[in-house]
Formats: sequence, C-alpha cells, structure tokens
Amino acid sequence: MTASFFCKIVSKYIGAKIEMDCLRMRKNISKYLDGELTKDEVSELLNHLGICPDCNREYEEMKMLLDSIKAPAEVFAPPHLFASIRQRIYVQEHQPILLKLLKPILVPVVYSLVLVAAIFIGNSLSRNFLSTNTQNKEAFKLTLNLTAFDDAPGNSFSNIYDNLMSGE
Amino acid sequence: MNSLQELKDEELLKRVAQNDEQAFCELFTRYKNKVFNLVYRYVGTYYEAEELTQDIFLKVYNSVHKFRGESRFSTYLYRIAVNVCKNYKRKKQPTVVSIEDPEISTDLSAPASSEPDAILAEKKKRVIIQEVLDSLPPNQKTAFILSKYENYSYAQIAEIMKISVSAVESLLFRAKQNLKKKLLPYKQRGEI
Repeated sequence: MTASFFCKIVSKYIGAKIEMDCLRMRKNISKYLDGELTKDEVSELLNHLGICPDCNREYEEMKMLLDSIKAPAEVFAPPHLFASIRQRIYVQEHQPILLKLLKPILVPVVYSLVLVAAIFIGNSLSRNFLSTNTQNKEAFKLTLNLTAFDDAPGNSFSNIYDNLMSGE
Repeated sequence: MNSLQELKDEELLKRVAQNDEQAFCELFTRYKNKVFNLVYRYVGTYYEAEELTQDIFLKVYNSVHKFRGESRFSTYLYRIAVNVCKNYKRKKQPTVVSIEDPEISTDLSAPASSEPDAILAEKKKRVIIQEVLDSLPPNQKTAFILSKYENYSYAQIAEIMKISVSAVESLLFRAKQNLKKKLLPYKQRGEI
C-alpha cells in the first residue's frame, strides 16, 4: 500500500520532470537547428533525443520542414536604382522651402477644397437637371394641349385624364 | 587622399553628411544587393522590393545626421530596412502572388531544370511558403527571415530588431512552431 503510493508519487514526479525537460529541449531543438547551442547543450540535447521518441519526432519533422524552406535565389538590384534614388533626392532638395514648410497644411486644405468643389458642382448639376425636367414637363403638357380638357365635365374620361396628366 | 573604396562605412557616412554624392554612391554600391535581397525576401515581389529599396536609401540619406555610431552602419541600415518593410506590410493589403508571375524566383538549392512541370512546381512551392511567411506575426517573420534567409546570429538579430537575445530565441521558436503547423499539411501532400 505504502509502496504503491510512493511509486505513484515518483512516476508523477518523473512524468512532470520529463514534460519540463521536453519543453526546454523543444526550444533547444530550434536553437540547435540555427547553430546557437554550446557543445554541452548539444550533447545534452542529443542524449535526450536518444531516449525521448516525441522530441526525436519533433526534431525530425522540424529539420525536414526547415530544409524545404530554402532562401529564394539571390536577386540583383536593378542597374537604374541609384539613378531613381538620385532623382528623388534632387526633387526633394529642389522643392521650394516655403512649399516644404506648408506641405503638412496644404495637403488637407487642397483635399477640403476638392471636396467642397465636388459638392458645389453636384448641387448645380442637380438643380440644372430638375429645372430641365420641369421645362420638359411643361412642354409635354403643351404639346398634348391638355388645357383643352379644362372645361370637361367632372368624372368624364377627359376630366380624369386631365387630372392624371396634371398630377392632381 | 584615400579612395572611397578604402574608407570605412562610418567615414563614408561623415562625407555623405557633407553632401558628398560619391560617398553615398559608394555606400549604396556596397549594400544595394544585400538590402534588395532582404526586402525581396520580405515582400516577395521584385517591383515592390525596388520601390522599398529606394525608400530605404532615401531614408538613410535623410537621417544621416541622426546616426550616432552606437552600432555598426550595416546594423543601422538593416534596422531601417526591416522597419520600412514592416510598415509597408502593415499598411498594405496582402499581396496575391500568382505562380504565373515571372518574378517569382526559385530556390537556390533547387536543381536547375528546364522541365516546365518542375519549374511550375517550384514556383508553386515558393508561393505557398511566401503566403505562410506573410501570415506570421511581423516580428516572427522578421526574425525568421533574418535568421534563415540572411544567416544572422541571434545576437545580430537582437541588435537589428532592438530586442534581447532571449526575445529572439522566443520569436524564432514560435515562428518555427507556426510554420510547422501551417506547412506540415502541404509537406505531407508533397506540395512543398
């Protein structure tokens, strides 16, 4: 009874210890693959990998994966790159000083002006459209000579038609 | 008088501060391909790498007076490069890289093959890896690219990213765990 209780305590303790060791070893696997472990740490890790199948599998998978992520082929900066940078430096240096100072203020002001202008133009266009529409309605009414029905008797077909056309 | 090629980076930088364009050209020549490759590996397309490399060197030119010599010029330059890339990716919608894009290069290690199927498979693999890398949190992605693609040590990465070595260890550990989780299904299907 006492012995089995003691064993449980020990195995529980060993289990916890192994988990803690494994977590540390997982971090060391990452460092090992980057060549960042000391000699002592390397031999400790290799010993652990020899006895721990989980960590060994983690190591194999990580190594295989990192081996498949190779650096993309080296590319070369385009030959015109320095000319482009020089051009940008030139533009920057030849910008009038006043413009440089006012730039932070000018940009929002210009955006606001554009917005106001857009609202104004939209409003004018809308008014123009409404007035043209009214004129068209009048012309349409005149064309149909609707005044001819003004004196038509109530509830007659002509009177109903006249009311419909005049929007009453 | 020393020729520009013989001068150290820091000496060239002093000259750049005095508007010496030749000195700036020499610095550019020394680092253009290194920076261009780093940016290209970060963003994944050639034309974006070109734009961003311009931005980086322009930033170096404009902030030349701010360099206090606390770290090496190369570290300072890569720090600017990494920050420009991270800011760009943060503002930008994710790039949809197509395998038909002729800009996608293949692995250095891949055997040179003229077989269209092999080239297509290699490009597809590149696209998958780039997409998975793009899905990593920015700091994990940066640390991984600097370590795996640029072969920097943890200490150098810590200096470039202005974080501790233990933070780099942690970032790389999590980056690899995330990559494993996302790439293992592709690996098992034989797509990468």
